[in-house]
Amino acid sequence: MSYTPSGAYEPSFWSIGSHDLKYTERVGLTDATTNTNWVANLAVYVPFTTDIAGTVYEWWWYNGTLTTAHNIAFGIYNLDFTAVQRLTGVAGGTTASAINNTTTWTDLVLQPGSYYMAMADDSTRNFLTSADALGLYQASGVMEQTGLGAGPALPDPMVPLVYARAFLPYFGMNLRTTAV
Amino acid sequence: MSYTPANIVMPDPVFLSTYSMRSLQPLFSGARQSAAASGTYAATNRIHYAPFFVSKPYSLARWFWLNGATVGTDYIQTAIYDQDLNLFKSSPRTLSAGTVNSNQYATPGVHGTNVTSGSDSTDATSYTTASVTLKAGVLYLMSVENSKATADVVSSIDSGPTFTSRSTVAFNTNANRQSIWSAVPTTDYTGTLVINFGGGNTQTGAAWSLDAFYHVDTATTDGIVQNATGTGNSVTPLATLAAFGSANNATYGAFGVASTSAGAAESASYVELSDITAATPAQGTHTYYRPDNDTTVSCTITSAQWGACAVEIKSLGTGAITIPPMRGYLAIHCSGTTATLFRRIHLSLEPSMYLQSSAATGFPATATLAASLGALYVYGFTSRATV
Repeated sequence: MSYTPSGAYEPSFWSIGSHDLKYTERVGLTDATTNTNWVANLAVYVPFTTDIAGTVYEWWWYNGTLTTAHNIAFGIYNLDFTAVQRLTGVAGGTTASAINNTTTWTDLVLQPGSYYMAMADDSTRNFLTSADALGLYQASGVMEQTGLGAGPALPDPMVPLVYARAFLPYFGMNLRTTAV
Repeated sequence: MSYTPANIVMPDPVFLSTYSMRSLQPLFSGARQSAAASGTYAATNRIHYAPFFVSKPYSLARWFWLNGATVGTDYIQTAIYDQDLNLFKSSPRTLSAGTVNSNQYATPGVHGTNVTSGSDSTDATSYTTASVTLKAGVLYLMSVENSKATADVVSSIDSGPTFTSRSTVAFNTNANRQSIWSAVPTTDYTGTLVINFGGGNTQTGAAWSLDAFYHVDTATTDGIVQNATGTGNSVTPLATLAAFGSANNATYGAFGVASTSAGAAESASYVELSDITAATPAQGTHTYYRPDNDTTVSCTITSAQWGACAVEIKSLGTGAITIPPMRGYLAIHCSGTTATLFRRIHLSLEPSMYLQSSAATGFPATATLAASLGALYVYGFTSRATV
């Protein structure tokens, strides 16, 4: 009788981020150290996969050096572009160069699978981003949508376009109950 | 004690590239000193192979590669080889185009490759090819040119799967004949094939080319939709097909010559699969294909008597294809060095990659790996059909 090992147990990690080498197919390599001005009412969609059921408790993002007031939105989408869950109209904070968390996201048990994580903002303030050639983000499967409604309102379903940005914001979801 | 479920395997990504966790990303730390950037392709008609795997059946909707600062001129293909180095699927041969520094996509389509070609100048009633390996479900076209005072038709192609005549024409005042036969093996076959002209029908020589086609709807007449023939004495052998049944269908031409004239390496968007000539008697056959429609099927030769046969090959269409759980190689081929692609060159990649040079007609049915130079291009496939 051959040896059959039991299924290894791997707990869910603390976070799944837009630049995560394990959960995203990142082709570029620059660190998220650049302050890049946003395009008002732009949404970015980053494909990711997870093999572990985990609870998404909140979202985090990193504001840049500006102190402009802004509203931010996050969401998770299925591969058919329909929304799993969205949170819009979050006050984005005015402190420069600071990491921030949402506080009103409804806990979501995310099943193993492939999804898109979404981030949108209604201002032109800056965020901490990586700054690779735009094609390297396209090759990772990243997409965008412009002209979102007030909120910014992440749509359902999303209607994405080819990614046209040479940057990607540094954001992600918390899989732990304690905020960053 | 709490319940601890076993994990599932990490789902395969929406975009799977050579820079993926399913490919060389885990080995890429040394190369990550700088990002992939636009650069020229390493060498004309070179293939680069990078290992990859998928853990579950994968719905491949499109192939992609990341073009650099210059597009145009050259043709690009990407492919999957299995771990035994057999060609599994390839993108159709596609002209570098679109927005610079952006992804270019290709939907599934017909692609072809030469399996073997040869000639024999002895007087005989049959001619035998080199040993070949034929795969079940693949379309094989055997193009034969033969000579005699009045050249006979091929009576059968024996020893392997069942071949059927699809097109034939006599030329050079009937002293030469060009033919196309087709077969779709139901099981894999390895061995020689015998081109027979029947007892007593001694020919003065023959030239042949066996070409394979993938992503073909072979349900009816092996996937051959129509054929056409032509004859003449000029620099442009030509056979004119009727309107195609589908924009996705491919074009194949076999051009017999009563001379030792070679065919042009590429001709009006066709890729040359074989170029076979013999001196005594002077004769030869040249085969070409393109993955799309062309009713005026032609090539370029030094002026000579010629006979042309052409067929339309039925495509399985542009819908997604299923990749089974497998490990193998992601391959890329470029026909020149004018178009640029994003790539990273680093010696730390050399042990994990391979290349193959001088693959003039695109991907071979079986890869022959050589040591890599550590050039990792950005290419792969995606399950996403749009955007």
